[in-house]
Amino acid sequence: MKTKIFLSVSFLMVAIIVTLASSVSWAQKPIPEVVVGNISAMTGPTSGTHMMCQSGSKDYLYYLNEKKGGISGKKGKVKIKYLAYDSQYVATKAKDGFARLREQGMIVTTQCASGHSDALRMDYEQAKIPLVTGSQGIASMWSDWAYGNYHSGVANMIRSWIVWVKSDWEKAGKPGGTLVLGSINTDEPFVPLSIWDIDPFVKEQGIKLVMETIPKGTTDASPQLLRLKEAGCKQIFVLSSAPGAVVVLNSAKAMGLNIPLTQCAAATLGDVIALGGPELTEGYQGEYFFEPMSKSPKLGASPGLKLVRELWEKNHPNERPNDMYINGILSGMIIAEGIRLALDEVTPEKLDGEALKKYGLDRIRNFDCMGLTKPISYLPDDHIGPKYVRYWVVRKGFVEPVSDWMPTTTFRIPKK
Amino acid sequence: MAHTSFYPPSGIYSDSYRKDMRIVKTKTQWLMSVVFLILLFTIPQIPFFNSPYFLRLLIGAGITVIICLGLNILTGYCGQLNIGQSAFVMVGAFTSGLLNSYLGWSFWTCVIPAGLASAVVGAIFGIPSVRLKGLYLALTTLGAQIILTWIALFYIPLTAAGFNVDPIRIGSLVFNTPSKFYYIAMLFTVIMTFFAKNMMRSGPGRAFIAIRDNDIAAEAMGIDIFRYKLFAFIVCTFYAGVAGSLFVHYMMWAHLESFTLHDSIWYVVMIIVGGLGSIEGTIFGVIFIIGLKELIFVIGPMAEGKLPFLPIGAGSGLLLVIIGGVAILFLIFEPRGLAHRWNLFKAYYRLWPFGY
Repeated sequence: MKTKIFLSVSFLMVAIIVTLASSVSWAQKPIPEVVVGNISAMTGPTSGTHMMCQSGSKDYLYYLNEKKGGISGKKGKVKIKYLAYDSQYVATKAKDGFARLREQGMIVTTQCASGHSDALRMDYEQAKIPLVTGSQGIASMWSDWAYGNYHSGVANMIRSWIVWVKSDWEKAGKPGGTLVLGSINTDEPFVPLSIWDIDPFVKEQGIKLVMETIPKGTTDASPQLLRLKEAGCKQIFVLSSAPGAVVVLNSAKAMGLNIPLTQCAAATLGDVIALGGPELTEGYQGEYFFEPMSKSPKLGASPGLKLVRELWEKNHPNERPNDMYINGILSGMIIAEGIRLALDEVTPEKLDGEALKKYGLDRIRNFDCMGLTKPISYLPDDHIGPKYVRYWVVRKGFVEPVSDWMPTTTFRIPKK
Repeated sequence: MAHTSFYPPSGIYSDSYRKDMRIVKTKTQWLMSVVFLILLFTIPQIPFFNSPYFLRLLIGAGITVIICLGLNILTGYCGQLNIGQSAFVMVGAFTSGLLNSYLGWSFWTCVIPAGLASAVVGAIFGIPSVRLKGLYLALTTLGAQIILTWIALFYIPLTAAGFNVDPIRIGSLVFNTPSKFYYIAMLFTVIMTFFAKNMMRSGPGRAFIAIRDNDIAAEAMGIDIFRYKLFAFIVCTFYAGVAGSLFVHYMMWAHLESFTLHDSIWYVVMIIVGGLGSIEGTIFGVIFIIGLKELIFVIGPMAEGKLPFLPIGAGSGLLLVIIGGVAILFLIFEPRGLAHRWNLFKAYYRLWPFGY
């Protein structure tokens, strides 16, 4: 009897000790980290945009580390270690940065695309490291390892705008017969890509498109705007970054031009408002592929936009809100969702770039980024991301929608 | 300008013209040259030095040395300021890239046509040199930068969009990683440096120097000014074209945003810092500026982190401030560049400890 009691108590004590020990060891086990690498031009012509993208993705991923202890899946949990590299808008430095980040264990890379980052295509494909990018550059559109989350490609900005304007014109009963539209372009590198092979598209739409060019750095666009007005343009698309847009707006105001102007996604309306001021930009239209931070506070905000505003307040308390910050947030959300899905299939130790692509990013379906965009799905031959756009107008320093969400065109510049 | 004449140490003499014209004059120099070349080509096998990051820096430096050698021949030796060198690199790069991408030519059959294409374009933009000099000629080369970029952006859709380029191959060996491409880059750098050094010791090289020092006196001595100025442009842009070809086959991507006015200005800064009219100075200048850039790259984010009043991205802006400041300081305090410091060091070392 005494022996039985002794054995029972001993067994119970051993069981308790083993349970405690394993729980302690589990508690002490550090959460593994995965490295997310960012290569951005902190100096150069696109530094403003790139810094916002970097900041957004970093802030969101660190928010997950802080609030949720990392990203969890069925097979484990990981924390994010975010490393950034300044490419100085130089292609060779972008490659140096990629090599460095890869040495430090990067499993996914993110950036805001431009010519210097397009040069990385061979690198991330050879290294089997997926790229999550806002603002898809040309090369990333050709790559199976790139995942976009911003717009459907630079060549679709003007195309989608033409489709929108044409549909409104048709609803209005096709006033004036032939629809004549205008485009005022600067000589920045993205512009030829935006109007790549545009003539067949214009012909297919049955409209007339008149194009004028202003040199980058000019202070007056009046001659070009006058020619567009004399050509009978009903609306004008501004293919320019923010400084060029302000020049166009100043010229249009000086000549009393009443033709609606629409900004392309190369600069957000928020950027133009910040540069030109609310008065100059009143009535200026623009396109967004996500819900902008410049959205009028009267209109309410999605859960995603509320989170974005909180993160901005916390991390950039003394700075004016910047719409491109959301571009970075979206990249962070896509990366986090991809990691979460991958961790349902693989353990953290086996989570590398290939696993993230195969089990994570390629399996993203109908992910709406907390309401910031229309749902994103990545299919085997389609990594564009959101294929919806909405047009907005500036009212008293904020933006309000003038259209509903509408599908974008999906033209791709042929692969070379 | 950097003092380029060579004073051999005491006891070293030449008893024939052929011996006097040697680049490497003593057995010690031969030994040092051989050891240096062996070290240069075995870096990828040495631990710590064989990281992809460090090799990429060296590859970039090698290609930049080729570009700056051409620039120094035109600007340093011949006295013709060129602030559009990046555009000529672009011509060579796109020529090589297009021949490879659309005609399937390998790098080895593209590199010479790339150099020649740049040389032809360089000759066209060198024609104004018959009438212009100094700042006016510099503006012409600035015009070359803008015109060539405009053409590539608006009149050739392929170059505007960017395109893939095949890596360099020799048989089944593909040079698509830094550890492999390093050998190609260093081989070309050594060969082009050797050519440049020899050219400056030859007739055309002496003509360039004569034109730089006093073009009227040179013409009075019978040197055809226009012919040699144009030749200097051709040599300079040939070097740029070869470097451009190497560049695109290294990057495996050709896009015009890699060839900007900023790059042209950096090249001029490098040869100023290194020493105008000096082959060694070119190498010193390139290494100095590239090393300084990497240092600023580390210091910048640290400064941004430690100094809260700096706005986001200010650390990166330090690059432009410091490099510009360095160029100004060199122009004020050491206009003959690092090559002059090197010559002073060599002279001191040879006399040491008998410096008085």
